[in-house]
Amino acid sequence: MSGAVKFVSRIVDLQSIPLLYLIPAIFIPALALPQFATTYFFLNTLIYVLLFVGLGQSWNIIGGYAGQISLGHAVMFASGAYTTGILFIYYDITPYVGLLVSGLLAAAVGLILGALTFRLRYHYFSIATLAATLGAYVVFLQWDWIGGAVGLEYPLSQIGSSFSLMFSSRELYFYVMWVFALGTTLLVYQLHISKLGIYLKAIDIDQELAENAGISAFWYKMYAMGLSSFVAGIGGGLFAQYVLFIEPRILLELIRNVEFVLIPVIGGLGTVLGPIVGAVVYIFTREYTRTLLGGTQTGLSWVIFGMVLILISVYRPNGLIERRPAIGNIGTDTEETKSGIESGADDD
Amino acid sequence: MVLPIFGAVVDGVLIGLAYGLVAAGLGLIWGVMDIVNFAHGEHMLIAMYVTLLASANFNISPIILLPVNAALMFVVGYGTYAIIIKKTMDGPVLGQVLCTFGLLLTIRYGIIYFAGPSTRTINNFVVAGSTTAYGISVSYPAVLTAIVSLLTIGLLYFILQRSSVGKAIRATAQDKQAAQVMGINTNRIYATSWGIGLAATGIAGTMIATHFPIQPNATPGIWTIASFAAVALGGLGSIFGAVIGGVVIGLVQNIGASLLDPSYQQLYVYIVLIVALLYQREGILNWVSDQ
Repeated sequence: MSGAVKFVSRIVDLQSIPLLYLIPAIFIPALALPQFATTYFFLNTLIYVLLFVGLGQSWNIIGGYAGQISLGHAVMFASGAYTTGILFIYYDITPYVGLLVSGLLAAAVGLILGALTFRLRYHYFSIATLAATLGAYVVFLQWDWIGGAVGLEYPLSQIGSSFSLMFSSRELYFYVMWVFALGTTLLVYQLHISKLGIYLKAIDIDQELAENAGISAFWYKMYAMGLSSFVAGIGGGLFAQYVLFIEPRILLELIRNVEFVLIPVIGGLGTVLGPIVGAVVYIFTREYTRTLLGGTQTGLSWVIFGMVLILISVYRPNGLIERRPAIGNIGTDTEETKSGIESGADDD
Repeated sequence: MVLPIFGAVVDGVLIGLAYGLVAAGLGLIWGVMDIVNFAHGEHMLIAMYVTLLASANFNISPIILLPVNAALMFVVGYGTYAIIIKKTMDGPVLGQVLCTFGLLLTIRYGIIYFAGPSTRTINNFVVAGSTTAYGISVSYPAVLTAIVSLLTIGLLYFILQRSSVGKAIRATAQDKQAAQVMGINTNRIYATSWGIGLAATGIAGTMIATHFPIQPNATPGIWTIASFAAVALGGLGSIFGAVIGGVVIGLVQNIGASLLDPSYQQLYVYIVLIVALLYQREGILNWVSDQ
């Protein structure tokens, strides 16, 4: 695996091309993709790729840059989906407003979760966030007002009306998701080149040292969590607008948490383009193994993804793409670029 | 007059001892090498399914399967460390979390793929039925599970305190470098800890399979979280801490279900887990490990 990556990078040194050129080079040609999508299945896969680019970027902020391994992002995703859905279904509030409310509410949920759990480090943080998701799942299942275990269905009669953000043509969904993916990628790019990104990486590499240097680890983690949750909430709202059906199982099952983590990890943690690579690899594999292996219930695709996770964690714990230094000449010869994140290797 | 809460207390203590055994296995691995096994419940699921299939297809009694499953899970644990976990030991925490999460997915969905996602129960157990004393109904399999768990916990304590392997494990947990200087092969000790930790789930899984319905999608998660909570309550590196933590979790679950809304039974455990993690530094039950 790593051999192939090295071979490709020897021919085209992607790391030396500025991100400012690479991002448009990826996104602008992608606009033409629906023209080539002859089947509904392919277009559907592309839409999910774009949605999961955004979700992967969301996790990338907190997991890739700040190094906090959150297993609770499905909570913010589900909060977003329910907010957009309920505002539209119960109160006829257009999703264009609803998505913004979703993002803000999810950010609030994320900040509460962060305020509770950021005192914990490493796997203690992971366990606490995992418990939060499982707890939210139980609560959402029992909460009758939001549909309980049955879930809520969108009023299909409103498809195509101008304020409903429900389209009869899948291509329009593609462009909506494209905007979401591009927006989140630019957000992470902005983070990458800003001081905030460097602070977060510093916290990831050595929290004590960062605090000694005057960086308030708690508040910067909260900042990252707020941004990350805002994006996850909007992603949840868009997901609800696309599948037109919200229920706790599809929004909060364990797999959702894994997907958030899997995509940046496959592509490369703490990199701007990592989640794009990860989403393409992951979603295409997921959708096509689903059809080849006959339904999700068989679970064989999850056995494969489990093995992929094990292989990645053993052989390339920092993802397929190497981290690039934040600013041209900083850190090219330091330990960081050689070994990637070193969180928790030598501390207590 | 008997309040329903007394029945809940009895049930809570009985299941809590099994939680304690599983948690002791998790806590051993966690305490010795600072790795959290997110797939702990899934490992237990392996033993449960071996018990289910052996009893359904070959009519083998679960009691005979106890040593078989313990040995099987020891080998699984030893192999898991030697083949996979060892390679992530020097890497970032993320690698370790992903690794055991990968194991979780592989085992859970592997079992679902081969055995189906339906809920299973076992029927031909040697001990069956229940008795009613002072108005409290107690089922024999639950009592037997608690007794087997207690005996195994005692054995675990004996191994760690008295045997040379146990002493080496404790030495490695205290100071890896010093243990290496003393000629202890720490890699073998880590692998052995994984073996012992999972053998505990093998025994608990066999016993639990005899009287609990097993649902491959839900059961492992419940056990993993319950043992996380028990270890967080009881403090790391203390078997009795984990056991007391396990009993507390069993009580919280059952008393919560009988006094409050039973459909939120798991939620109480999650809340206890988060609170226990947050106040862990101060140590809710840390006095146990000091003794």
